[in-house]
Amino acid sequence: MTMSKNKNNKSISLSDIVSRNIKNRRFKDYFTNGITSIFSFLCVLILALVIGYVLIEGSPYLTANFISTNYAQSSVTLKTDSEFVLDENRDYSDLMRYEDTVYSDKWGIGIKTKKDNDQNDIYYISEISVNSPFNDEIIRADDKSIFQITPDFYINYITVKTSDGMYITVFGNDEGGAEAIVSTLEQGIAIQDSDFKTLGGGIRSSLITTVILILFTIIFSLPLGVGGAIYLAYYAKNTRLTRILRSLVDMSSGIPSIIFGLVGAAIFIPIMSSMTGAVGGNVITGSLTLTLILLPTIVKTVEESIKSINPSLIQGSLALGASNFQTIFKIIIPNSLDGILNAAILSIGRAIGESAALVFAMGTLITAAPSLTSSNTSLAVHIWYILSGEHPAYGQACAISIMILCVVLVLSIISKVIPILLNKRKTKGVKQNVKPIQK
Amino acid sequence: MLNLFKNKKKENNTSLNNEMISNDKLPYSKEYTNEQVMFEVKDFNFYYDKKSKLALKDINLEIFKNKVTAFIGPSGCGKSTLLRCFDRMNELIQDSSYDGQILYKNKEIHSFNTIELRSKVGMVFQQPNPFPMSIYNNVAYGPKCQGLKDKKELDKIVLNSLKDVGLYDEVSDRLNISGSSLSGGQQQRLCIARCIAMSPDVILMDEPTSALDPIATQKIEELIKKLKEKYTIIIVTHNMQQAARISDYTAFFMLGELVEFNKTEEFFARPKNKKSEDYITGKFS
Ligand SMILES: Nc1ncnc2c1ncn2[C@@H]1O[C@H](COP(=O)(O)OP(=O)(O)OP(=O)(O)O)[C@@H](O)[C@H]1O
Ligand SMILES: [Mg+2]
Repeated sequence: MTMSKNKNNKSISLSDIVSRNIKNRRFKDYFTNGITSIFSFLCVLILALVIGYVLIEGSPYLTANFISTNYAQSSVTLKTDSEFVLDENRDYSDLMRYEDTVYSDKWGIGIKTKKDNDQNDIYYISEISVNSPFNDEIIRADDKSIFQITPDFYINYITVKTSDGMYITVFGNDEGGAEAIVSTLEQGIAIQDSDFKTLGGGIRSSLITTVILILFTIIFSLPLGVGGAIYLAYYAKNTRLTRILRSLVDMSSGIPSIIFGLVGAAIFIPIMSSMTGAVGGNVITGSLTLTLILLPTIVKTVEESIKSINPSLIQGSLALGASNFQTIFKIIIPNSLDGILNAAILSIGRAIGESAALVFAMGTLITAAPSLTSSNTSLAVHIWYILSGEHPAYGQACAISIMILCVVLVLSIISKVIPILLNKRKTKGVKQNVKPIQK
Repeated sequence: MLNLFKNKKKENNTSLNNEMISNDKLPYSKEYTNEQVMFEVKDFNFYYDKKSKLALKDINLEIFKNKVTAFIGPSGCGKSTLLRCFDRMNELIQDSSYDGQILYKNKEIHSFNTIELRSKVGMVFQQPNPFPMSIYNNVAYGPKCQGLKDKKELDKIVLNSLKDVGLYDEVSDRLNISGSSLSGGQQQRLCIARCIAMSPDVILMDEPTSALDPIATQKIEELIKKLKEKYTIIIVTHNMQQAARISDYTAFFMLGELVEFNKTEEFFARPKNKKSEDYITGKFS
């Protein structure tokens, strides 16, 4: 009797407290709700601002030209032979006529307008008749060799010699445009001097280098990392040595990449140059350095994935008389594909985004021809380079950033899709709690 | 030093079941001379955790050819441990060690390499563990690992193995579906087929029916009875009725020691040891 009374008393007092506190607690709930939603909104806002800025600043610069041209300009000085005099009756009937092209009927060429990477008009020779002097009588000023001009070259200036021995020069960036160039050409009988340039400021070589860098990074880091992970997860006994090894692997994923860059530059570059004679950093030393950076992450990702394989599959394989080698290739690797693919994606993402380490280990010189033995830049280092000059090119940097962001987006989508695709297989697989036998 | 250690253990043993030890090392009378011996366990001790845990004490036992031998005993008495010693799967466990001998066809099992031994001594696990690959590839896994590439030969092996376990009629049209999409009982029979495909001498089974329903269990039991014509079978089971139904010999273990080994009928009808009797009558489990 007394017991039940006590109980009643208690519950009444509790409900009292509840009703007293309910307002207070509700208010606290609203408050925390409000604060957390404001914070998360801020986070999204910042992200949206960053991406918005990059998109708005960068998209006008993200043109086909920008991607397909090299950063460095090449220029060529051309002239006609000193004996050359333009005769009047050449047959230019093979010249194709287009509306947007201005033609010089005396020289048998057509000149077209396009925009360079800074949105300025530039002029280039788009049509050349077979009988035109531009076809086979224009020589380089330096070595007198015949030079076939291509649409890649735009006109910087042309100096013609007139029939009365005068020289007239027209510049590509003069007011008159293509018509002015043509009218100057029409007055000349020979070309005394001229300068043609290719468009610069593009990212072609950096883009190619980035692709090569990714390939080499994967070639170096994936087999090493997967091998290390298999060793740690499958072979290594749980001794003090392997525990130390494991914690070292864990620790090294926190080392700032610039330190790896330093080590890469100090070790790989001398080794490379003693082997190939290459001077300074290059794609190989860059990808070796990236491999250093990536190995801990790859080992960890793949090891986790191997450890999640049902141990009874591995035991089942061994119990059937399969060797360790066969078990690794038939059971372990196929069943840890998700981890391996994730590691590959991580490698690609890192190779695209890393700049600090590569500045030292691969170099900052943007070259026209990507090569394995000379300094080159990845897209991220390209950004670093064009921003570190006297006139930081924010537009172009943003354009590159758009490309990098797109790749990163695609990669993260792929990494989300892979487990779904592979899980179809895995969930079909055995999923019981078998007593794991520790190794 | 070692001798001392052994003597001490023998004393322990004697105190547990004195009447048997007095006549021979074997805790059973050697009246089965007409049987062919497949495995012979001699003075076998097994340790876990760097010798700190003795899991099997001074086991002496013979496993006879084309017979079903059941290992019974309370949980943790070392049945699985001994079973895993026969195909040396225990060596995967770090810090485990043993002394004594196990002879397979009169040769020390450690004189074989593990690949050779395990292709002759197959194992079926407590939980069905088909590989996440097609039924066909599951059964062909062992032969392929041994280097058999001939498609026709493989086909024949797969077909016969599936027929032997009675799975063929159930899956003949779906050999390409994943082995893990079968029912639990079918999966276990697939695992037995996978084992048979190696044409082993011995099949070790560790509680093969404990994860299955009664009907699937019955199928496996019938299968075991059929299989003993071709294979020597050692089965660990918690189910005494099962041991009585399917086995020819029964070994009863307690606390890492072999308490009694006898013909199954004898063992269940006239247990010689008080502890066996208590266990059979359900005084403890
Ligand atoms: N990997 C291991 N490491 C350490 N000790 C172990 C290990 N495996 C088993 N043991 C111990 O060895 C003893 C025997 O275990 P075992 O698995 O052989 O028993 P069991 O008779 O099969 O039991 P159950 O009927 O429950 O399966 C137990 O005390 C167990 O705790
Ligand atoms: Mg067991």
